[in-house]
Amino acid sequence: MNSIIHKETQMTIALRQTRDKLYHNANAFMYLIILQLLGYFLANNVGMSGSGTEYFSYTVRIASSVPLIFFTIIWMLLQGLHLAGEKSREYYLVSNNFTAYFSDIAVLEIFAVTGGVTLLLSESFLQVMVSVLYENVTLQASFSEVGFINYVSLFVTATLYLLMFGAAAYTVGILRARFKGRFFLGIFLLIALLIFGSVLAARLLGPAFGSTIESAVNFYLHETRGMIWFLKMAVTIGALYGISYLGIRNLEVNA
Amino acid sequence: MIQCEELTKDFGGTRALNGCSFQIEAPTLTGVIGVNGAGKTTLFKILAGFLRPSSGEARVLGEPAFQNINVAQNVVLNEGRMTFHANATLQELVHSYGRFYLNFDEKLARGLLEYFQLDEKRQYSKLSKGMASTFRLIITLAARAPITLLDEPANGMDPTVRKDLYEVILKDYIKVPRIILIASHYLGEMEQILENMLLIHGGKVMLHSALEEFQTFLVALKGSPQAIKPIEEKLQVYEGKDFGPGIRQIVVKREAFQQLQLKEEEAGVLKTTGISLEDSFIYLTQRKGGGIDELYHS
Amino acid sequence: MAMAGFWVILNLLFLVLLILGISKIVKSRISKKISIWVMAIYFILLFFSPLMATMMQGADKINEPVRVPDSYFMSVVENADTMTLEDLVEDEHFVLLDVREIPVALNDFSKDRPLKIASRHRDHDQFDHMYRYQLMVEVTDEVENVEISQFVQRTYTDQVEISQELVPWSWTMTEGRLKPEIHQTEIVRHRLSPNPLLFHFQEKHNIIKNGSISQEMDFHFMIPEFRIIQWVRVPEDLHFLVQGVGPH
Repeated sequence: MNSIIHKETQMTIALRQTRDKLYHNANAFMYLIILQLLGYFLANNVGMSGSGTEYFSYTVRIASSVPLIFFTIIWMLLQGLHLAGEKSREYYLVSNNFTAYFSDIAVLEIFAVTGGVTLLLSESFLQVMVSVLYENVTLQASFSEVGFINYVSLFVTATLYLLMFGAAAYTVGILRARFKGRFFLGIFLLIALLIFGSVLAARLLGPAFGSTIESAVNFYLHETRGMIWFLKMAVTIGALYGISYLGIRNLEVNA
Repeated sequence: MIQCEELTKDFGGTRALNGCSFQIEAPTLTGVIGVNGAGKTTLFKILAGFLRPSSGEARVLGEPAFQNINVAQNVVLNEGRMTFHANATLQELVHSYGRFYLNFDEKLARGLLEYFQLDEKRQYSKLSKGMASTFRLIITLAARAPITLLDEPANGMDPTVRKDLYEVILKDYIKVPRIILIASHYLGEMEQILENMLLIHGGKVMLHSALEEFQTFLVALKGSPQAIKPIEEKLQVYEGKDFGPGIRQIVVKREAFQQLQLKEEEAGVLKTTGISLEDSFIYLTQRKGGGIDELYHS
Repeated sequence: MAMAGFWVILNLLFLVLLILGISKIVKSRISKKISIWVMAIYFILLFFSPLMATMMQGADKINEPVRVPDSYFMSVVENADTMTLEDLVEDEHFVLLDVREIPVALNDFSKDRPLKIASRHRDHDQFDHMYRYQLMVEVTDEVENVEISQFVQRTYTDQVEISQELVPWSWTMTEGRLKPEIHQTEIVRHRLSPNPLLFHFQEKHNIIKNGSISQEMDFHFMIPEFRIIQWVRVPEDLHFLVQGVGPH
């Protein structure tokens, strides 16, 4: 009996790779849980306000899920870098650049959705946690305005932000794998260009045109128009994925 | 199934392969030999689709190999620097290979793991060098891919394990004939199982032939200096050595020697002996001039 | 400024090391099967948390402003003559904080040397305005010692009632004078603030204010004024005098 030659499609193999990667990266979920528990720990006391006199002091400790968002973003960044790193590993199994890329993106999207779901449910979980740990827990007045649409908003925004951060980290990782030593030179040049370009734009066109990291963040966070925000996210994520695809396309594997 | 035509590969300023051409159609157990840096690993990586040729062609199963999914699913590469998922256990890796290589024989893999006393639940990253080599060989053989490339599979293994290794390769090849290329420096041990040899030197294929032909490619001629000298002047000599006054030995190509068609009395004073595979390899790939002797006596 | 920056960097460094350390431990020590099981348990907890949250008592309390009539305290004080202790106990605008008995030897006091009951808690209390308290004295044959019931009008701060949390005053008897001691009341509340992404598309709640990310702090805090009634019941045979502490 001779060895049989097989010819499965790229998509079949890509889906199989996705499943394989999810299995081998199962510890990523454990990592997410640990980081989120750290987030819950810090969430109990994100802020404090109060006042007092000789005989009376009143302190309000604010609990908020903002640290959870922060840690989940960190997790997503690390997963993006991890999937892009040590690219050579997966080629020893059945793979090419397309299937590797496709499965990486699929895994990142699954991670983003997972992160989005955990953040969506973290509101009520935090409520339970704070109520168990402390007495006299109250909800801020704006909770009364939260409806189904708000929860949809939370899930969609959280998931897409996570996807964006994951895509950004993945792109950085792929470019590093592609260009190796020249990558750091490129980063240095990019930062210099951004700073110089921002200063120049502010001088020539006015302060409003000078960009800062804050204004870059505001570009997304301050956007209250749903469709415009979605468009911004789609373009950003698409651009990141496009760059990473260009980086991985024809990438040679040489450990 | 494998066809290389003037295959060249450059890494920056270094040329790893320099017009390498050969063809393999039928199932074969071929040894790929060459000095360090000859281009064996580069050749294997090109055939596995990892590297793109700088020029020339590398076709596997009739298609260009680079990043070709049809090639990837029918070629399995085993090399020392291959890595797996961090913290993956041997059992998980066996399952992974089983998912991707559709000819994978899990029963064989498990049996070999047990035979070589490798604990399935152990993480690959925690294996010793020799055990890791053994494991890599087990899964690449069990994959039973139509083209199996083994780059230095015996690295780090003790002689007992190496002996078993060759037996496993041979038995598996007999059971499931396919193209198996083995790059190894253990020539003396390997020649027991090989059918063909592919010698790469200076990035080119120097010799590609059946094992017997390779083993008889060179011949040692011993005789008096007077008898040897005319032959030395006519043929390329790979090595010339004096064994005291009146006895000189040279190593030449057998075919070239036979083409001389010496007269009976001329041939009768010469003693011809065969050269071992290892010695053949050394003579064929040795550097011209500047030997160790010169280094120490200069 | 430099010190603050130093601590920020140190904290960030600690955080980075912690995160990397966790990653290393998770990758090398924890098997995938355990990870998958823990994940399953975590998700089950998360999915049941909305139900748990609605079931937990007090967890869904959303602050609602409560109006207490400003003049209510004065109206009670003015009608004190017609009230009984039971009336005050049943009054829903007041909370009975504490009842304590102060032993007195009737023979120690006489008409010339009565028991002095202080109507202020001390001489120089700059925060006296916080504690407006009314002393009401009832002479009754139902008690053998001095019994003091402390009431506080329902008090709210930051739209949350804190009446029950006021530490009751203690009373001390020194040289024939019974006077109150105020103790420090410390109240700590926990408030859950909503995830800012819930309001991402709502201008009103957008978390970016003036170019900086900030938590929406919509509570307004003022030091409350406690309105306290000390209802003192004295035995019939006890000679007493209600007075201020020192000269006014």
